[in-house]
Amino acid sequence: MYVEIYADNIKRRCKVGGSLVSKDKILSSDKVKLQFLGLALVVLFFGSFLIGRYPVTPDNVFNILLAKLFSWPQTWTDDMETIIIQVRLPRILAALLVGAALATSGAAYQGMFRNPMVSPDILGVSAGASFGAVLAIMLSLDFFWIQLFAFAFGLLAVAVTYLASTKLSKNNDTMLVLVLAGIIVSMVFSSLVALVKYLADPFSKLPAITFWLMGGLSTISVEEVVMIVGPMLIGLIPLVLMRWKLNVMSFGDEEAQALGVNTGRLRSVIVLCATLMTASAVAVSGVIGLVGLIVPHLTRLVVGPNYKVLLPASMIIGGGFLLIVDNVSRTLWSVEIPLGILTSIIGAPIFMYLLLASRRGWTS
Amino acid sequence: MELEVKNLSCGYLNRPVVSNVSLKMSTGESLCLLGPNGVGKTTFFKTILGLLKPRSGQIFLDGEDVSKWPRRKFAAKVGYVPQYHMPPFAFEVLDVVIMGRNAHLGSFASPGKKDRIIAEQVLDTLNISYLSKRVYTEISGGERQLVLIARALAQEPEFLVMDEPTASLDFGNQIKVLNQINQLATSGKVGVIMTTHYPDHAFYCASKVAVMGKGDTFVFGTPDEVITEAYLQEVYDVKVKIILVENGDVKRKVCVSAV
Repeated sequence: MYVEIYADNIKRRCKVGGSLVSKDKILSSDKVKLQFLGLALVVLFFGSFLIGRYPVTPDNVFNILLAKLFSWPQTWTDDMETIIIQVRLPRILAALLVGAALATSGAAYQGMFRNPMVSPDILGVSAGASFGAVLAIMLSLDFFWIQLFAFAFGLLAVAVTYLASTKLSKNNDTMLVLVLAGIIVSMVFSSLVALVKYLADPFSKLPAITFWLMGGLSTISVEEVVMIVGPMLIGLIPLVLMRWKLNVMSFGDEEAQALGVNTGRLRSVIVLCATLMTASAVAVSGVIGLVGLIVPHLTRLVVGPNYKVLLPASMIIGGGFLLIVDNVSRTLWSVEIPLGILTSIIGAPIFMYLLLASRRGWTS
Repeated sequence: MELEVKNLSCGYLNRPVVSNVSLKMSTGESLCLLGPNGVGKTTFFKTILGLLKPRSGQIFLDGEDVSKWPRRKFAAKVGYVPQYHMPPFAFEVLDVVIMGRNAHLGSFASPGKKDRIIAEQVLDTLNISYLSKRVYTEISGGERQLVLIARALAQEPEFLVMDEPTASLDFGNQIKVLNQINQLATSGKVGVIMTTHYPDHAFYCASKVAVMGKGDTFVFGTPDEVITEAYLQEVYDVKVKIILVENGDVKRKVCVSAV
């Protein structure tokens, strides 16, 4: 009798406390994963300063970076400072920012469109930005204007897509119409890009246009990095704050509404934020495909589909991934391979491998 | 709490589906909505839930017109159990149930410990705590239907609207789901509105029945009043016999095909 009661008590205790404890463990394991990813990113960040043709020691890197914050006795050469601050720092920061922006907006779009095949340029932002950039190159404008044109036309393309879809959609087909409008707008801007290339001077303008379209960070400067930080943060912060609602959104509009989500407003916020981030990324780096599509996937394999963790983890992994690829791009060969090309070449096989290895396919 | 539908007409832009429907029910009652395929039951539900705009008429909760209510306020009163389906991502069951807490969270908030405890209690009420850690896309259809009921209950609503909760479930799961609905309604904490294709279900777990018939007819009353052999024949166009079955103390009407 006593044994029975005892066993019963244990059972009850397990029932009451058990699931709570295990969920806490899960939550804390998510936290541990995020902390680990964050730490790995910090190591990668500092490590990236050491990579390159001009040798610098870890000491130099720390001293030079800290000297920017505090007054510090100079124990390094001026060349080193130029390399670290003028050359490597903007590149590393830009790779982090661009990767994080593309991956975060990709993750948000995949939840909103309920489709893991979606990437952040589905609404035409890349095509629009490309047109803006090649137009500016064609008009012989300087780098600042190229970026501004890219940014402005990226926003314009998405605005056209969004307005067209709100005019065309009736009740519950908003998503489908949005994607269709995006495809059409992308096609128009791609044709315009082709037109500009066709008209461009094949000896001076065409190579510059082609080079820009391939995507890269080789000409980045500190000022340009500073310029994109603002729009990226404006895009990032609302997404991070509202990330849990993306879970609800991925069950579809009707269910999300019945669960109390104002889907129209949330969708506008997501589109606006993702567009801001992607347009600023494209403006400094050109078109870098695949990051926005595959990083959220890889991240889902690591931390699961819950946006509470998925979004910040995508951000970290996206930044890290692009930083690694950019490190490879600037050191592997004496001629730099454009980042956009290398991203696809490196990213695609990794992605295929992980999909096959995980065996859980798209939905895991 | 009382839910009142007054002279409601619904449908799409140039296609009216249901017109001039009125009904009234309160928390603790269960209403079964019957009617042949394509008569507009789902459209009617979507309109009650505010997913479709009514063509005319109003919906009241305790006398208050809900048409101007924000989504979140409405969701805290009325929960929706859709027919089960596959979401694109492999969420954990507990995470799915916690999504029901959205109605009680601010725009920038995400669920905390209290919400998790409520979700776990709901799973426990439905006797499916064992599913909590499982992946929603990998459990059976019946289990998924119960999880969706759990999610709606986590909203802590006064009314539950269920769209064919027994559709495509096997015999055993149908009865399990119906039993849960019965218990929910008799507990007095929620009012249940559900659609079904089986008049038997109405005898089994409904205190009120509404039938949407062909040609825009709408009949509302208790199961015994509404579900008669003659009326079933009129609505579904088949001959039906209603028999009283006694099993110990339990007496229940069932419908059998008369052919």
